[in-house]
Formats: sequence, structure tokens, C-alpha cells
Amino acid sequence: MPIETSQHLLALRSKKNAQVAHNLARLWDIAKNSDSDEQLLAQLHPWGESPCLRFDNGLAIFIALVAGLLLLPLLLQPTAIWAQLLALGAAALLFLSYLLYAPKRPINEAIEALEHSIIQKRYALNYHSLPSALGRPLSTSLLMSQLKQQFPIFSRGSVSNDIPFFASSVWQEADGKTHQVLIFQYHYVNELRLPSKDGQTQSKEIHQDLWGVFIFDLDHDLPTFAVSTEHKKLAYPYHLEWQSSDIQLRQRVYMAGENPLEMAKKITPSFTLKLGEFFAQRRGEVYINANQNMLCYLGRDDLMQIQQQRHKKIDDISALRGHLRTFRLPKLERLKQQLLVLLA
Amino acid sequence: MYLLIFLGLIVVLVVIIIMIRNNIIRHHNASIRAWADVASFERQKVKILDGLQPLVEQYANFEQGTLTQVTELRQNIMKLNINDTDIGRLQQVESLSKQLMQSLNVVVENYPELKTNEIYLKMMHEIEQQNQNIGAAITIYNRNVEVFNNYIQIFPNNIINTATTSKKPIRAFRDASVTQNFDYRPNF
Repeated sequence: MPIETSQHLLALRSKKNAQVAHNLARLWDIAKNSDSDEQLLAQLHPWGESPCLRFDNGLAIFIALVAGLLLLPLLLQPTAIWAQLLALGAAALLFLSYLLYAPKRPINEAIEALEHSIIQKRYALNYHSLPSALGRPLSTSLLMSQLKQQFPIFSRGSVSNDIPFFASSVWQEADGKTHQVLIFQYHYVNELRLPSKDGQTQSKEIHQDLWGVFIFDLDHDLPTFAVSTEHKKLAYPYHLEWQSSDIQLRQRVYMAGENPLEMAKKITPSFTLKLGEFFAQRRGEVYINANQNMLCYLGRDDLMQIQQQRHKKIDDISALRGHLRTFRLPKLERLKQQLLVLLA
Repeated sequence: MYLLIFLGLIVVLVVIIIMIRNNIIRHHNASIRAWADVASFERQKVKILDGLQPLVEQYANFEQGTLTQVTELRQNIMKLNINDTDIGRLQQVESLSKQLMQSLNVVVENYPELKTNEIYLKMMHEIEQQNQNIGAAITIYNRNVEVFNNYIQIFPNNIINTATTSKKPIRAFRDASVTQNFDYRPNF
């Protein structure tokens, strides 16, 4: 009888875990083959079979506990042969327990793949790919030098200036007008020399990150100018200070550009109000390069920061769907909305 | 020592007074500039109206009233004082501008061929943009007026203003045609 029960339990366990493995295979398939975030979520509901996402490790844990008990006599009578034999048995059981134990890693990997996929689809992100407007540079350093020429803002680090992450996307305005964009992380390192206790100078590297967005193919009649809440002096071509007609905006930001006549003509009251609204809600820098029809925003907010981390355990498909539904990049969403209002 | 502290305090006080006085001048000048923006955007509208007039004249036999409104609006805009705030005239200009836009919409309804006239459409788009900028310029002007009036009326700026610049609070722009339809009247 006990053998039959054990067999039954083993079969049940293996069936249950096989179902979880099958679910994981389905999840990987969904992550790879969904065309949109909506489609991805729709494929998770209804699931149609057992929605469990937790391997049954009860038997493995039970065997490990038994092995633990069998080791106890060895502590009491280490020289007794029977205790040593029991310890050997315990070692065999521990090995069996190890073989039976199904780790959580495959589940976490599948969830991570779905998270990655839903973010990519929800925000139409193409990781480490450039918008077609920029052509196809061979490497990040080439991309860096290309962007450096257009915006003199990537030389803040005395040791290094890198763009370790970038992703292209397409943003759409309310009237259907689309903009190609490049979201990026700018990492720069400065060296700080401090006097140490023994009178020598000690150097310390300070790593800093900024996040930004390039918006290409602007069709707005704007001059080359920059607005910054961070700096009071900007490099060429943003070298001529410009005073806005709005006192509140003037108190909040520093504005500079290339040609005062163009700025007087093209920075209209409507645009001034929009700038005021934009910088009332956030800190950062906006650079417009009229020759390249490009806009660059740079700020301290981590645009790829996820709103919701996996605090709760995800044990079934329903919990996973709920998790993915609220899995967002709120800082990127807010910036996108504010920049589109600015350009509307 | 006490003399030095006393002298230091006097210097700090003088610096603060100078800073407040300079800010009053800055805010006043910014308000003047914002007003000039309003007036100059109104003036720019005249140029568009100049182009619109001959087009509407083709339908003048039927829409004499619209033509009169265009002329009246032009005249009022030309009378708008660029150098000094002229809120009464601006209110009149804005009211006439709204009436003209309504009349032009009626004209378009009566003459559908105007709807397809590219020059007319372009001009209407320009007028719309101009009106948008005038609206924004008025908002900026009112914001500046608020900042300036606050600045010269709060303590101790009011004392420094009276003693040094004697600037008077500026009147903000209010759209009388809109507020007259309200039952509610604020008690200020």
C-alpha cells in the first residue's frame, strides 16, 4: 500500500511539474511571438489549462528532512558503524532530494522574458538600434561622435563619456504626426583629486548618469536654442543668452541660442507658455538643433525605471498577467507626454 | 568691532535694497515687453487682414457687415498703444476679433466655394495661429503683471518701491465680454 501511495504521489507530482514546465514553454512562446502588449496580455487570459506557476518541491523537501534526521545519530555516536551507515544513506537521500528539486530559476527567467517583451512592445522600443533618420553608424563611439557634433553636451566627464544604453522608438502626436526618437543613457566619469592623510593626493572617480531623448525630423519652425534648469552657461552654438518674455520662466530656466533675431522671431508666446509648463513640471535641459531638425532632452530621471517591482510572489498565470498589466515605465511615459505637448 | 558689525549690516541692507530696486525695474520692463508682444502680435494680424479684405470684398454685396468689421478691427489695432498698456483698447480689439471670426464662419457657410479657396484657408489658418499667439501673449502679460504687482506690494518691497521707483501696480487684462455673461462677480 505505501508503495502504491508513493507511486501515486510521485506520478501526481511529476504530472503537476510537467504542467508547470508546459506553462513555461507557452510563456516563452508568447514572449517571442506576440506582436503587441495587448496581444501578449490577451494570450494570458483565458489560459485554458492549469495556471500554476510553482514547481511542487514537497517530496524533495521531505526527503531532505528525512536525510537530516538520519544524520543525527552520527552526531551522537560518531564511531558507531550503524550511525555511519545511516549517514551514508542520508547522503544518498540528499542527493536524491537534489535531483528531485525543481529550481525557481526557469520561472523567473520566463517572467523576465515576458517583462522585457511587454516593455519593448508597449513602448515600441528597439534596443540598441538607431532610428532610420540617423543612418547606421558602425559603433556606439561613432554614434557618440556623430551626436557630439550636433549637441555639445557629451563632454561632461573628464575621464570618460559613454552612451551604454540606447533604444529607438516612434512617438505619435495626437494629430497622428510621428517622430522618430532615440532614448539613451549618458554615463560620464569625472576624476576628483583629494588630499589623503599622508599628504599625498588621492584620486576618486565619480560616476554619473543622465537620461535623455533625441527627437528627430522635427517639422517645427524653431531656432537653434537651449533651455536649461541646470546650467548658467552653455557651449557653442548655445552661447548667446536669451531672456524670455515670461518672468516666471525666466526665473526658472536659463535660455541661450545661436541667433537672437531668429529667437525673437520664432520663440512665440505660445511656445514660451509651453516651455513654462514643461519646466514647471520637470528639471533638465532641452536643446534644439534647427539645422538638423533635432531636439535633445537631458535629465536626471532614469527613463527606464520600472514602476512596479516584483514584490509579491507570482504563483499562477493570473498573478503574472496582473503583474504585467501594471508593468510600466512611468518616467518615460511622462516625459513622452510632456515633450509631445511641447511640440504640438 | 561693533562699529564693523554695524557697518557690515548697513552694507548688507544697502545691497538688499539695491537688489529689490533692480528687480522692480526688471519685472516692470518684462511687463512692458510682454505688453509690447501683445500689441505687436495684434499689429501682425493687420497684415493678414489686409490680405483677407480683397477676398471678402468679392462677396461684399452680400456680406457688407463682415467687411465693415474687418475695417473696424484694423483701425482699432492700429490705435493700440505699443509703448504703454492700453487695456480698454485691447479689450475692444479682442471683442471685435471674436465677432469677425464668427462672421467669417457665417460667410463660409453661405459661400461653400470659400471653403476650398486655398488663399482663404491659408489666411484663416494664419489668423488662428495669430489669435493663439495673442492669447498666449496676453497670458504671459497677465502673469508678468501678477509677479510685478506682487513684488511691489509685499513688505518690505513696497517701502523700497515708494522710496526709489514709485511704480504703480499695473492693470491686468480681463476679457469683459466673457465675464459679463457670468452671474458671479468676484468681490475684488
